[in-house]
Amino acid sequence: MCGIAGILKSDNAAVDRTELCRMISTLHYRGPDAQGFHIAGPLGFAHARLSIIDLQSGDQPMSTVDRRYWITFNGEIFNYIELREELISKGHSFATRSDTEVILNAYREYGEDCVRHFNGQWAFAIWDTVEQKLFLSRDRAGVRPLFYTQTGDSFLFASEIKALFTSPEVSRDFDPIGMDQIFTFWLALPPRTPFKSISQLPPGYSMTVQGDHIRLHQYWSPPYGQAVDSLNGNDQARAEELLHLLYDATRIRLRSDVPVGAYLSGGIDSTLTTALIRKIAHDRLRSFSITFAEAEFDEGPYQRQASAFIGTQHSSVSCSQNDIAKVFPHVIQHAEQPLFRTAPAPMFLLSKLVRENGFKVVLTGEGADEALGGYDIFKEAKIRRFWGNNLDSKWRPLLLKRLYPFLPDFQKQPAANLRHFFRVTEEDLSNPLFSHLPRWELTAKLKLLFSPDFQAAIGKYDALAQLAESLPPEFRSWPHFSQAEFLEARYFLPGYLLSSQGDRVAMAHSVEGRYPFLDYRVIEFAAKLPVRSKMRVLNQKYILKRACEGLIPESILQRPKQPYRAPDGKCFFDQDAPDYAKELLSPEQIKKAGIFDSRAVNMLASRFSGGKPGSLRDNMGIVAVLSTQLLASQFLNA
Amino acid sequence: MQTTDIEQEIRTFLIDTFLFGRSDALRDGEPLLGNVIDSTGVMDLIMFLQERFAISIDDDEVTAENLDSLKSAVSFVQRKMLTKA
Repeated sequence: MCGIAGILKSDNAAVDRTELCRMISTLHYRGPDAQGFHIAGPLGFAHARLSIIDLQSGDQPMSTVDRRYWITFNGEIFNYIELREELISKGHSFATRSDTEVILNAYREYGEDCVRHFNGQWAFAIWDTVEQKLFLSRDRAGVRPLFYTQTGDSFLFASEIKALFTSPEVSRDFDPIGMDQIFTFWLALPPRTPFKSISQLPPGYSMTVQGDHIRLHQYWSPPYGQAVDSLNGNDQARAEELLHLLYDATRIRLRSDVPVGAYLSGGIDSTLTTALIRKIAHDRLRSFSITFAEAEFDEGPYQRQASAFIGTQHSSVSCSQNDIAKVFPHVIQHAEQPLFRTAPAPMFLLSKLVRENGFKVVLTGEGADEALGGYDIFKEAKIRRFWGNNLDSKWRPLLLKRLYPFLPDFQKQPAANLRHFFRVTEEDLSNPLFSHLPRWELTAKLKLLFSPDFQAAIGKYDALAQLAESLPPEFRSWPHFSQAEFLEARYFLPGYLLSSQGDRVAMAHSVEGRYPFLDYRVIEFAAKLPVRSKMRVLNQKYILKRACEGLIPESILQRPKQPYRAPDGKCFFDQDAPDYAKELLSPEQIKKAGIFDSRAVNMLASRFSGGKPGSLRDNMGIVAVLSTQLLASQFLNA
Repeated sequence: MQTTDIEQEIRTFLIDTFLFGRSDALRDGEPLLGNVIDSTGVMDLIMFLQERFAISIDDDEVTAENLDSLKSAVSFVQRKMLTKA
């Protein structure tokens, strides 16, 4: 895993090495093992290497033997061994054993379609010296990031936004529309980012840059529309096929010339991936986890059960509220976007633990909830729609109360109220975004915190309408469950989870995450499964649980789902909390950044005074304001 | 207590508690449930009404009819205060 950066001059002027050097230096933690440059006329590539495969000869930027094609690459192509054989049989020659050279020769052989042959997680750029064409690509699920911008005479790209900001020609203003999207969906809809001048390549997309011409094209999207909702089918056969795919996805993700560890959260997904690693690799496996002092967040007992059952050597890091508050500014520096929960902070501490134990690579269970129906939002949408089929029903809304047994206030609500909160009206039921309306509208309330000037800059923009317009044409004909899955997998997973809780906080400590559930074969298989195989009545991840039988402890298989969460707002108002929160939330700093209304922020902050816990919305609000203020102080005023 | 006083007190509570002090966000006739008050916020409103106006509100009175707008909430409080008197 690495950091990449590059410049292509449209006026054919020579690239300045100092400029490239500045860019890649900001990404040193992504690749502390080596740094490389390739400059040839208008093109400059830079690379910061985290050596994992072919430690001796895998340095980058790399070229084909004939030096026609050059590459700078962040990520892994897990099926590179098979592809290498295939390419050799087609007459290609290799000077290294690396997956990087496989990409180069695959590009020569298959052109832009080469990415369809890759099973991996990547962001790369290839320069064709003959056609003077730059080709960039990002993996299907969006595991690895790729940002770009254009200045008067240059196209610049990099793994992270901060590298692009080293150019004095790149403006550092927030994008009001991008921010409006973030304060609705928790993410900017690609290609937007929080910053006006910066774009991101969407997952499953490639792009070419030739002269002044930029072209983006989508090479992959999950085949949700092909789901078959059938009562007939053999669950056992489906579970076996899923397990077979996960086994192989895990097997090829163990390809590494350095030791591989595992994150073990205590849930089904990471316990299964850890069990599969143990089955495949046999040798002593190291696993890592986070624990919390607060029982409502802690999964320590399950982690220990899983570790004992599978036989791993387990290490954990205990995370306190104060730890979260202390590292939060660093997390924002890496995440480069406003956050709505502090959950990435413990993940930042976890990757530190992994690195301190000498590991560069970990496998995790990320992606299972999106692909196999694990989130409560799927369950909630199912109940809401079931209620919507008979709006006068007295008992159907009671199922929603069953869904949230841990919210005592909620239990007293009459059905008429729930209908308002859960958006179950005729109009809502026909909305293509039905599954996510309650969540997004709750977040959108936080826009009341924006200053009048910032609100004026947003104008009458409607983020929900834009998302609805950008959905695939056939989206409305998909099963409702698939629609909800698509919204999670296409947007929330890459735009928030894989970036803020995945790539960014892992790479902060030079650790590469690998995700068997995000193997495209697993995603495609899962997308085509009948809905009943994912959620049986209200039993989530039904087929995955069938696949896990005997491989993971029964106690973990049967435990109620516990979403990964961490203490939020109160972390910043403790007696021991660092001073920066108070400072950044002060009227002076709020006015200086110009995003929020100081009186509104003051009122929000007052709801945490005296150790009060704040409501769900208040917690999201305070984390969002603070993270945005940190972002402004770190990036806009740097 | 005058209708306008009750309305002003509830309005201030709603704006300060749910709208971050943004008075322009509470338009006349605005539906409260779902729009202004989130799902766990109803209990905050009930507790406020009970304490501030010294009334007792039963669970079955927590309905959309009684609380769906500022106007309906004011009428509800007035009825409860009269009943108490």
